[in-house]
Amino acid sequence: MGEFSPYVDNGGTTLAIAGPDFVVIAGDTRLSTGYSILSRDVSKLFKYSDSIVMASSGMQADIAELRKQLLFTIEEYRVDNERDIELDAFYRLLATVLYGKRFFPYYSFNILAGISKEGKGVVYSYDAIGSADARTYGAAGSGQELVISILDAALKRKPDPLSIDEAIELGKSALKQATEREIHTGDSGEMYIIRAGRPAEYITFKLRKD
Amino acid sequence: MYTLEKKLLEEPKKTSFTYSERNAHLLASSKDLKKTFLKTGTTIVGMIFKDGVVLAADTRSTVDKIVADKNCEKLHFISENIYCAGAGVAADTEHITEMVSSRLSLHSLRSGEHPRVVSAMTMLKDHLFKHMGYLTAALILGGVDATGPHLYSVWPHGSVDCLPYLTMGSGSVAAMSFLEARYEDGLEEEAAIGLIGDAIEAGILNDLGSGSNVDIVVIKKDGTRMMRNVRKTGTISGDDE
Repeated sequence: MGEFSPYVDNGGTTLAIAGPDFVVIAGDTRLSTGYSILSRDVSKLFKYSDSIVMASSGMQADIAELRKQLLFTIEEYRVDNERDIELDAFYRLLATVLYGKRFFPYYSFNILAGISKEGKGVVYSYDAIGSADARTYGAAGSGQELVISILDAALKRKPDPLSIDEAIELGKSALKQATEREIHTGDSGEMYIIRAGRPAEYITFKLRKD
Repeated sequence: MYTLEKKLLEEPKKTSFTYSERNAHLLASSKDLKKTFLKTGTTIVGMIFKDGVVLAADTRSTVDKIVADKNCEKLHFISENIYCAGAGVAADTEHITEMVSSRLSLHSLRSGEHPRVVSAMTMLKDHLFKHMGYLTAALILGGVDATGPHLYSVWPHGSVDCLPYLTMGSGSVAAMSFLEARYEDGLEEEAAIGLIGDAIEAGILNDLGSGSNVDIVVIKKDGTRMMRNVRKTGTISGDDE
């Protein structure tokens, strides 16, 4: 009999792109193990407030537990401080919760997107044990290598500032292209579009199902 | 293990002139090389129907989790009246079917007749058995010859099954669910093509190793019809293609 392993990889790809006063965050909805599809409709995005959305890929069970922990802590924060948590505080919280399991980590790769106090779009990208940094764009999951090259090529040396429509199209297109060449990504895509001072808008789009 | 080798292994700091370290290194690195081989994590199906044999395959070829070819050909030509669907390592299935094809064409040139399916099957299984499973080729061989329609599956170690309907590859379970539900003896050509298309489609949609399009070849006494990309299952489910 095979030895027990506490981890499984449920695949999937996520990405986020920040602009001057907005941020978009997207992911596919396929849940898989090995060569099997477990579900075609499981969300990788989770909205914690009007302007904070987290995208997670890795092991679904660990992600569910991580979300529960975060939800519990921000509710406590709301009760104690009588206001919603801000992006910079949430960023520290996630890093701390992940590092709390330094020697038996949550098998989860997270990207955090939101609007900073100054009204700017911000993307934070994490490893499984809570090392994080602020970026203008990021990708994670089984199609990370494919998506990050697409985003690099489009954004690294872009002379003019990124418009929101460009960001939405780039995000959709990068996920579609990852689906073409990576077997664990597909079925359908979803995206939160977060503009400064406005509640996040949610859209979905089709992806290949093979 | 030889005592000298054992002694040298126990003192790893000293320079060793035995091959053990090199062999261990080769063994470890050959595993990595094996990972880079092109695999056709595949769905292939074969079926006997009223007038002959029909074979079908998907068109995805992968290296680990990456799709290397979105529209490859897994239905290999053996002769005018025999085709072979292949799953496993792409190089093995391609070379082995090419070899059998060329040997059979010489054979039929000499005999002046179409080659027989059993001949192809025997060549394939003998070659695979000789290589003790190191050639990763799982094949479905089908054709019509002077003695009627024939269908075989040939496994990597050289064993053979002879059945009226067969599936192989990583999507074989998904495909077989359709055949078990709907296969019957003496199906009409149109019904057979419909069923085999649905079986491959099940593999394309439910098995991550299979994808993209459906290829079908119909072999009858009066001729062979190769139909490439009869269904574009993978791409039509997206909204822009």
